[in-house]
Amino acid sequence: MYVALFGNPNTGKTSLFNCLTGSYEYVGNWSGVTVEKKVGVLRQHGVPVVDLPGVYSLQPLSRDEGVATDFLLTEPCSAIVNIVDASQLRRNLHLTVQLLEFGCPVVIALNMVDVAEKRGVKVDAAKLSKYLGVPVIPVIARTGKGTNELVHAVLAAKDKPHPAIAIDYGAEVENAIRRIAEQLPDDVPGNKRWAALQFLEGNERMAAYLHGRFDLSPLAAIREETEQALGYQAAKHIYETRDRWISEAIAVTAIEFEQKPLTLTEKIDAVVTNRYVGLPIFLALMYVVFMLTFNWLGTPLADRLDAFFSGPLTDWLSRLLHWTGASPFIKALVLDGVVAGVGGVLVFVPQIFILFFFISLLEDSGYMARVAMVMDRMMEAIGLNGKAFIPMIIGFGCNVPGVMAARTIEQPKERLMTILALPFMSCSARLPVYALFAGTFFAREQALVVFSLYVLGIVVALGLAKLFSSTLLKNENSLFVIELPPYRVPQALTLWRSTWEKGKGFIRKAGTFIFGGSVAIWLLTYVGPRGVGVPMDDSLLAAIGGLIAPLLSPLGFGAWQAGAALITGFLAKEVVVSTMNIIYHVHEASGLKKVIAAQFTPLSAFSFMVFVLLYTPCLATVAAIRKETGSWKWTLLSIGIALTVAYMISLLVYQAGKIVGFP
Amino acid sequence: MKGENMMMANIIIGGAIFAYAGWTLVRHVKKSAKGACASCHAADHCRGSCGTER
Amino acid sequence: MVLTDLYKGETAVVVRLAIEQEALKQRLLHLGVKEGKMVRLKAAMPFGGPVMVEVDGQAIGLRRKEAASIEVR
Repeated sequence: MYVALFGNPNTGKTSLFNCLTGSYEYVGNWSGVTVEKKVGVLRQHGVPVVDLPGVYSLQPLSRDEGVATDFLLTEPCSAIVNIVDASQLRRNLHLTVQLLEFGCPVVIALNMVDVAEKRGVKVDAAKLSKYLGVPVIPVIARTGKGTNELVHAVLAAKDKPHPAIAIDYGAEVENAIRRIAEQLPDDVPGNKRWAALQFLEGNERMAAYLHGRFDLSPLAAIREETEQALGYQAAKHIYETRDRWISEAIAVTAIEFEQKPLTLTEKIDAVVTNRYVGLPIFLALMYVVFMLTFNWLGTPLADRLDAFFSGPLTDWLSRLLHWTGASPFIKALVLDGVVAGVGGVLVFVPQIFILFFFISLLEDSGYMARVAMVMDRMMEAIGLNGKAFIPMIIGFGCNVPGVMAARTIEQPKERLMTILALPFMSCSARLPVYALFAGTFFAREQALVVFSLYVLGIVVALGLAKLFSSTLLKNENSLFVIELPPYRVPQALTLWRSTWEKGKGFIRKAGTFIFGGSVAIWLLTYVGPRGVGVPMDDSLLAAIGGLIAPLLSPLGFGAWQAGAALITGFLAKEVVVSTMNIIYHVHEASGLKKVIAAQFTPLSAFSFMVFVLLYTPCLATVAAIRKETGSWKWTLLSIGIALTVAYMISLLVYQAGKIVGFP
Repeated sequence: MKGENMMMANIIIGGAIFAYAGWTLVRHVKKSAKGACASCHAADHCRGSCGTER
Repeated sequence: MVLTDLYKGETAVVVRLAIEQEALKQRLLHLGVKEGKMVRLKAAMPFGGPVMVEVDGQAIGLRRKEAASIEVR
């Protein structure tokens, strides 16, 4: 039996969840950060807690909201913690009412009291508790203040039967509720009155749930009768009745002194959402991020790390191996396989952390939602909406959470298009490839070259979306409404934590999968069809890479080495660099640079980077696309398109470049 | 005697590396194939099922 | 008069949500945009892009076409 966290989007549910369970789930300052339920355990008490995506009401409009409603319908919960944003009391209480009607014990966590006070609203927790008949605990979810009191309240309320509230919805609706409730089976989740009300309101998930159990037509008939008697939709009537009830609650419990705008937010918005400079500011910020990542800060740091790996670390390891009396085989395995493969990827940790830092900053500040708004006009032109830009930005970190984040897009077709466009967003795993190749061939213009690749990814993604929206996925009902939360100054600790949580994945991957991959790849270079310890060109890997090499030669990189690196890169794109490191038999990136400079020209290197950017989503992304679209057809189409597009564009780049006369 | 020790060291180091490498590869492919959970920090101790596909 | 007729910074009262798309109407209700509410136009994006309005101290972005079907007084 779970304790479930419910609340409006962006009210701090996940922050609270992190405090309660000691986890580090992904938080951010926009609506729709959490798109899937997350399970944790209440510290010291062993009670399972589940964090749910934010909802405004129990009637879902998007996929992530469906997760929350489905949870209520299918999973038993021992208590509900309803987190309420004190600065938006009216809209938050609409959800609270529905939860109170459900009939499970509810504890309210009153968050953002400080923001409310800045806005000129003071909420009296004791009075609110008395009015609603449930405990109300003020908390500050970002710092964890009040969580102890909350835990006590939850443990006290949990599993105790709690009478559901019953608002008087007027004769017609009350009559309908009674008649529907009579027909409902006894095992319906929650209170029967609640279930009847949800059905009357037109909750599709509720209807779908009941539909699986019995014939709905008598219930639908009751709804129709009621709506005829009312003269308008039952949903509207129910909404209005609740709204009046809430107005009274607010009148009794909240003191509004002067309504004050949030001055900082107003000031920042005056600039970043300005009609003339809004978009230029976003682009300029992106440029600064790139320069910092690839030029001003990232590359010098990566070079230091590289020097350490290739110098002291390699020396130390080889001396250690010598001392243990390792055989040449083991030495080669460790130095040419593991150190080359893992080290070759790890040297790019500085760039990756800098990029993650800025993504976290974007997520935490509140600017993300503004970007969606600023970009909406352009996205509309290609058949998407501005909200699709948020998954795309997340995709710059990793495509998998990006694909998941598309759940917040209400329109199914727009959501599908966003998912299909996402793999072209250049994720951080592709970054080592750029850093290596651009660093070798375009040392001076490195940031610019990499920037051009990111832009190319976006252009291809949007072009493809445009193609889909005008052919297969025509969509007249594009929808765009977005909440623009107040800005907040990101806390250093939170910012560090989100950067670390993202970057940790990369380091962990280097220590696990890339380690394993390096060993496997090295082994493939060591054994050949005609024995072990063969020259590299006669190895198994050469044979495998050689299979596709002829296909790639019109693109400018027809050597088996490139083919082999690309094949292994499907498992995880970082491995492209590991494979190259191992193949070219050097222990560190600086030596590798010399070797690949002999194998590639600047033009073929650029063509190769373009290909790596576009060629296929990695295994994890493919799996995520499969899961989110629920269809193999779209998944395979996504891979097919990626391969075709990558081939065509790389071909164009290389052949056109040759004609123009690039080396 | 010394030769035998060196032999042992080689087997232990080599065996450990290959065993670990094999384990990580299997785990990665299994985890990646789950898709949604790959991005989730709670995946290790999560008892809920990811994905809402029905 | 409709929402998009307001000047930047001007405040008005919502009279009617003449929006056909049910999902959108729902979403606006969720966010507190309904008859009788005070709304303020905060900004408008160029080239017919979305507008930013404020309701209950909460800023919302929505498309101009839809904002034009919100009647105000």
